[in-house]
Amino acid sequence: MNPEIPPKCGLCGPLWSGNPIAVYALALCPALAATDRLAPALVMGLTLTGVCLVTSLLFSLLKPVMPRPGRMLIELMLVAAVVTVFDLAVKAYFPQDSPPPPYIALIVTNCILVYRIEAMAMSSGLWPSALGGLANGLGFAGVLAVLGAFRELTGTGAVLGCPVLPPGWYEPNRLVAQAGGAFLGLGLLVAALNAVAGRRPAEGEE
Amino acid sequence: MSRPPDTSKGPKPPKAAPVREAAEAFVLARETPTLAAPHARDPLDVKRVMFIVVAALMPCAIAGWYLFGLRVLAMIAVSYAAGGLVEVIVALVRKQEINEGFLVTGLLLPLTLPPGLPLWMVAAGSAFGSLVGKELFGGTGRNLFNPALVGRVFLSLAYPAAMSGHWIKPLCAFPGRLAQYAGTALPEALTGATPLLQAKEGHWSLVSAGSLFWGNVPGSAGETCVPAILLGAALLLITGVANWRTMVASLAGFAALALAMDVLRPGAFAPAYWQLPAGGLLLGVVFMATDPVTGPITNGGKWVYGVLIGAVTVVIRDFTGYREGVMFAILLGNIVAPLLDEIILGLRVRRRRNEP
Repeated sequence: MNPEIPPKCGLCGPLWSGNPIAVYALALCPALAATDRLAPALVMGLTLTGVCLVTSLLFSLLKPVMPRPGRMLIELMLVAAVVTVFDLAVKAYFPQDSPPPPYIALIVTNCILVYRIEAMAMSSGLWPSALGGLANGLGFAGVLAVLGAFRELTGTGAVLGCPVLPPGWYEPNRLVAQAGGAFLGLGLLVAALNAVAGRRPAEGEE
Repeated sequence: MSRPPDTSKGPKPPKAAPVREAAEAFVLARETPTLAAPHARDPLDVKRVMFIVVAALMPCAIAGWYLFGLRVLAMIAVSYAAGGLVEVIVALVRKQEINEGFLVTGLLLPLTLPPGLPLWMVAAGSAFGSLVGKELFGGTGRNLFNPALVGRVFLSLAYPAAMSGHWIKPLCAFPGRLAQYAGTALPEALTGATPLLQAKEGHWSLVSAGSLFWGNVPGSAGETCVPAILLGAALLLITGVANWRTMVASLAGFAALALAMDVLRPGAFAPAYWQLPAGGLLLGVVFMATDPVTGPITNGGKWVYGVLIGAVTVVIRDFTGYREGVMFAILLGNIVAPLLDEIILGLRVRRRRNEP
């Protein structure tokens, strides 16, 4: 992983050249666990975007009164409170007949949040913190959406539950829907993005 | 008969150079055999090693053709075409030469598949094995896993129903199925059961060990006929292309655990003498476990690696929901092979240091 993550990279950076998943390899667990279908991937991505935006704003405001020692404890508790609010909101507004999206409560441990709070919100103004939080959340959501769409399309022949590839003609690939397929899909996606962006392994990293 | 590379077109070679070079190497010998350290005793190069393995696989391929029909040849052709296409594209992108290693992978993969498998699945498996199993790791000699097994594991996880249901009944009486295309056009030849499935259901005694030995059972295209595999093994061992330690250790590990099961829980599982010729054990041990790229280099490592493969095969066959365990056993062996080498070399270094 790249140890020097530039905290200030505008709106477009986290979406492409500084993508939290594809470039910095942060938050891989939700990218693997919540992407077997497009719908849970979208819910996970958008919820994280919301949590990231709110916590970035919150900690940018709390910066003057935050004690330096013991701040991780306070951060964790506040993040947990925000995630609980989002978790309850998603559960309340999610359609009853479909299975609830998993792992929303686990956003507490998402490392993009800690990265945004520690590297950006605790040291910058309100506006850049909020922008950075939003952009990183969207960069995360974008990768999840692409991976979720790919895995649902190849794994079931449908997208968002609507059949796209005719069932008699297309044989669903069971591997992509499994955990092993998540690793393969993410690896191929990152490889493809690197190939498109012309990124090469850094000196001595090969 | 070799000739130097054509340089008349200036310093920059044409785009199709890798394809032309490969076509040339196919018919003519390369003028630069590997003369560096590991092959210094003999001008043995990758090309010759690979051709010996292909020759050793021929008895299995012909036996599969005889028992299961022309479909086996179609599968081999499709596998070569799909995998070859991937190799050509990768070679053009990377501007590298096409390597002969693909000749083995493209032949080995269809021999491990059910002979009634849809041909497009064979193509998908071959392309996946070449691309993900080999080229993404850096090409021939750099792959962590056996590319043919990567293709097979992809197919068996992606299409489990097709991979466990498209078997063909063998026809032993001359002329076998030499001129038959047993597929959907010949529904009476299709079957859903293999001896290992019957063993899983507790009916192993319905199949005699003799028919398992001669190949008179449904199974993957190249795995059923034991004499053909033994013929190939003999060629590999005589030419020194495959190492005998891996083969002996695998069979010893398999036999030891299977016999222990016979003694500890008699009647619970198929006996060792029955399990040995059944399924893909011998094909895997002879042609895949002995792969010099994905196996250990040290002799000690080869013994441990072989015993591990044999023992894990018995464990998977007897105690899991899978019928056959050779594929997973060899892939697990591939994972630990570099670690085994490191441990053996470490022990050797420590012993040297402790000597006065």
